[in-house]
Amino acid sequence: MSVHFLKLQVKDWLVYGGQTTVEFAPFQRGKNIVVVHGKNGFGKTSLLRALKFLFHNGYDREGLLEQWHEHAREAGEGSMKIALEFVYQGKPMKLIRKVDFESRNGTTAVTPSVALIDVDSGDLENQVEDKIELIIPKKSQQFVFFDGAEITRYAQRQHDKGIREAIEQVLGIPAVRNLKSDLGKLVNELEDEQAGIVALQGHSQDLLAEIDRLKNEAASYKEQRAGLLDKINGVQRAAEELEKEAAQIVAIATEREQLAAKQERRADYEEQRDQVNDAIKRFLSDAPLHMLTGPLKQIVQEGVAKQEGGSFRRDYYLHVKQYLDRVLENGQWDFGAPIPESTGQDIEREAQRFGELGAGMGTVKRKDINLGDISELKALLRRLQDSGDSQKLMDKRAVYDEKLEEIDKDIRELRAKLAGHPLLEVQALFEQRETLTETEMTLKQDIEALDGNLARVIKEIDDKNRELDEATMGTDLGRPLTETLYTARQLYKVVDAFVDRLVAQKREDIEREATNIFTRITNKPLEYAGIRVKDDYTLEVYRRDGTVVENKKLSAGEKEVLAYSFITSLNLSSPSPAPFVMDTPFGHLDSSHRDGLLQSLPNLPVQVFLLATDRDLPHQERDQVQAFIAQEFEIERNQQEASSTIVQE
Amino acid sequence: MIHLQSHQRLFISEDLAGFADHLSNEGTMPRRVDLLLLGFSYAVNNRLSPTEEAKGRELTRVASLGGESQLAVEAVAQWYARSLDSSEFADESELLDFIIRVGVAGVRALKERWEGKSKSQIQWDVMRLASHLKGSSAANNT
Repeated sequence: MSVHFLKLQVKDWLVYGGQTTVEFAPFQRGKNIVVVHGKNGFGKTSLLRALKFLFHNGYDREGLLEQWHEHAREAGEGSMKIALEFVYQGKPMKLIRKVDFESRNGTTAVTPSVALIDVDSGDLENQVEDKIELIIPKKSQQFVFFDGAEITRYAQRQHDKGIREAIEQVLGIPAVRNLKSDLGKLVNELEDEQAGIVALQGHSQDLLAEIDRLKNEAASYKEQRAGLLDKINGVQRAAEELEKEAAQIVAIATEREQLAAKQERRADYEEQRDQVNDAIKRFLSDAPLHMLTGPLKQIVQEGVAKQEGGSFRRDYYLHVKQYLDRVLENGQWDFGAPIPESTGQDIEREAQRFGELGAGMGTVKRKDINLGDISELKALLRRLQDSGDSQKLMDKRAVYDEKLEEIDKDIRELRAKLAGHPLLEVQALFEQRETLTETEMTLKQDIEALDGNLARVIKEIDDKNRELDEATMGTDLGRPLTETLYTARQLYKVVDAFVDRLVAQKREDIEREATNIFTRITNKPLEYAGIRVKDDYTLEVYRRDGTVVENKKLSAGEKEVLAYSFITSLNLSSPSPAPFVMDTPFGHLDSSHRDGLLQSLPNLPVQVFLLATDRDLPHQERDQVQAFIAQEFEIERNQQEASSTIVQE
Repeated sequence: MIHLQSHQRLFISEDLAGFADHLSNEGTMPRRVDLLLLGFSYAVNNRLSPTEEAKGRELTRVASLGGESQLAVEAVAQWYARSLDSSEFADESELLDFIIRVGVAGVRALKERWEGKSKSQIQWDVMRLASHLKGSSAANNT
């Protein structure tokens, strides 16, 4: 039966100044999504931290002071509080975690407290922390309240001990392991008592000594086995490191090639930009002439007109003079009429004047522009006209500048990546990897041999114990003890087998559920067939043809989907699934994965709280899941007061 | 038309010498004399009056202007003087004097126009001025 949240109160916690209360709609299957919209820095992560703190206070005094809203802190005294009403196993409960701050002798006394209330009866529950541990175990918090961008760590090739323990905690395995351990202790105690009886009776000492010897031998084998397992783990880790290194070398080689290609392209761009720069320089140096184009054209036009006008008039004047000279010479006009004597002098004067005019037009004054200058200016104007378009030149240069800037950035990044990576021999690494594989195989063979020895010794111990049991069964004192011991041993064996079975069963459950979720979300449903959960709870994706996809070949988005499928299935496999609270839920996901993940949420039998920015949940995606959204809230920020509140939309 | 003598020397006023040095040193324009030429062209286009004083810091000899530029400046200077109703130049000294005074007037206006502008902004502006005036004169002539 899952846990459902009903009402959350946050007071003076991080960005939430004063008190903020949020009431959640009753859980309804298929309409289970609660969206809390908030911009970066408005308080989504503060909300996530509030829930984590509520269930498990992981802060020391300084940490608690840091969580206190800054304005409240300035006041020096007061309290911060997180309270949640929720349903657990059908029962309404209220959990309150409060911290009082009091000023004492110049320092602030910090007093945390926690209370769990049965809402129906109003009674305070005792052993609160133990009960919280049952509701959401501390170690499994990470599968309930999580940052979407960080979940890829669950898709790693190896889990650290903490994660493995957390997984087993969620699955309820430690309780069964504890039972096995308690039974083991009981068997040991009973065997000690049995040994005492045997010793009192003064016989079978050899048998006891032999059992002790065998137990010591078994312990030694177990110790050796543990040592060998550690070695195997070490070898596997080294092999992984080598693989990583080899992958890096391959990547580095590719990056070196990329760098060389980019440097070559940069040189090309630079050359082309230099050419444009030269053209710009030429244009700039001609700029004053370009600016004089207008006046120069006018000067040329005027000069040409003057020259042409002058030549026409000179020809006319000289032509008139020649005519008049001819008339004077002939003594008559062209049409035959004689020139009167009195007119002859006038004609002579006129001929002289026209002659002077004509001659005057023939010599250009020193201050006038001459034909040679005009012709040079014309040529200059033509050249200026033909020179490039300055706008285009500047645009071209801007394009090359941009390209060079981009490529320089790429080159800098590649150089930074390559810095400190000496050229290594991939071949040498592969050889080392092979040696490690051989070592691993040898170690595994050694373990097999040890297991054989261990089985043999355990059987011998069993045989000797039976002999001992027979000996003690014959006495009044020994009979009840031996019977109890026999039952305890049987129970121990059953529980031992049960632990293995439980782990296998849970793993199968997770595997099935995770595969179910993964295949619905993945954008390669035709290629990927499912997820395999290995003994150590690490994951692998396998294809439809049965082959395994190498973890390193999965993209960041695929790893996120893998991890999401895993932790969802994990939560659902726990005895009491808790709501999911996902901060920035779709960190590396592309739209296809995001859509798949969003569509998988309504199928979960728990509340899902999405603490999302508008980038995480664009309108289009939001509309797709509209029907499954129970409520939407908005985190509003009063920037003057430096305080956030949550309001329902 | 009066022509300048190649040995004659071009000047820029003392107050603008630092500006010319700065632009030339940071590569905004190749030579200091280019600023004077630019100023001359700017002044002509904006019908600025020549300054009073023509002396100052020596920039270069007329010969270094180059034939094309020298001829264009000579022609435009005499055309511009006429348009300003100035008296005709008696000789090349008067012509040079006029060119420098017009140039200095233009440089002074440009200095104000480019106050606070970077090298590339100034270059953009020069290109724009050149293109615009070239374009507008072409438009006027069509």
